[in-house]
Amino acid sequence: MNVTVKFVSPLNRSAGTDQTSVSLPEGARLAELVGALREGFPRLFPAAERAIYMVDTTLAHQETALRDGGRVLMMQVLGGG
Amino acid sequence: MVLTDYDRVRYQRQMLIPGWGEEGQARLKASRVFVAGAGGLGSSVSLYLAAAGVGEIAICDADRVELSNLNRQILHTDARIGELKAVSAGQTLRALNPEIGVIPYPKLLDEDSVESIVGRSDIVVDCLDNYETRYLLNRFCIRHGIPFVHGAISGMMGQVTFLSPPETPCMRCILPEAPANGVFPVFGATPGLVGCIQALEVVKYLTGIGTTLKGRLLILDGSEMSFSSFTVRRRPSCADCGKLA
Repeated sequence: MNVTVKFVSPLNRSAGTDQTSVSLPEGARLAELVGALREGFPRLFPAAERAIYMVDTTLAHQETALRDGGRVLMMQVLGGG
Repeated sequence: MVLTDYDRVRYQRQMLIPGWGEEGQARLKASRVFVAGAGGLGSSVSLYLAAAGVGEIAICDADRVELSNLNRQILHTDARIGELKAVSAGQTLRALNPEIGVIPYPKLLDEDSVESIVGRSDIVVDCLDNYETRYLLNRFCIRHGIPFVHGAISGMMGQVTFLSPPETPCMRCILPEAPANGVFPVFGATPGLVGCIQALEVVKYLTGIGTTLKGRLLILDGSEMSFSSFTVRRRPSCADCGKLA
């Protein structure tokens, strides 16, 4: 299956692109996507490990299941006040 | 809480909002809101809550005003550089609305002080710049069943959600581990905007009108001027709220 990953600023600078498509085995979870990104976008790490992810319309966790055609948003944790 | 003639004039335009009226205004007047942080978010949150006539605003910050704060922390001025932010905030809020109660707490929030400082607040607003204190207030609010309006920013991005477990997730459900603290980039309008949204959440909750961001995380990106909300759910394994029914 394929999922589209969008990198929200400033992570798009580390990725070198605003978004990418990633092929994963059926039934893959977010953790596997992060593993695949480590290979394709090494400059995203370790930031990608501390990022938050939205899968389609829901805040996701490492165990969240992905779906074919799904959209994943990766953004840095916002902490400032 | 009885409204005075002064209140009826001062707040007449907001009392015209359907569902607000004198009853909603009286509820605001009877409320105590705890604002954690007198920085960028705390500035717009507390200014709009004071202007709206919230009866008592407690505002807590242990830091002092620095020159580099002034691009965004509009509670403070050049003349107050070096003063305690909480005290400066109290001066500004009292000048804006002398009819409300303002209680500045120039103190650090920690396990020993949180009970006495936050006390019996009706709602707590997260205007903090670190997750350690967010988690502390998260646990306090869960313990006492107090709603917690989370806000955070960086650069031109911001996020807001309304936390009230077990109906919603808690702060730690959303972010189980604290990220490293550091200096973050920020343009003043970003916390201004996010703080206004937090103030709206507080006022909706206190007056009972509208729909809050319960169960939704609002993400705004000022660089693209996009607003998106995402569903957020409780984590059964959450260390802070997982044992709630």
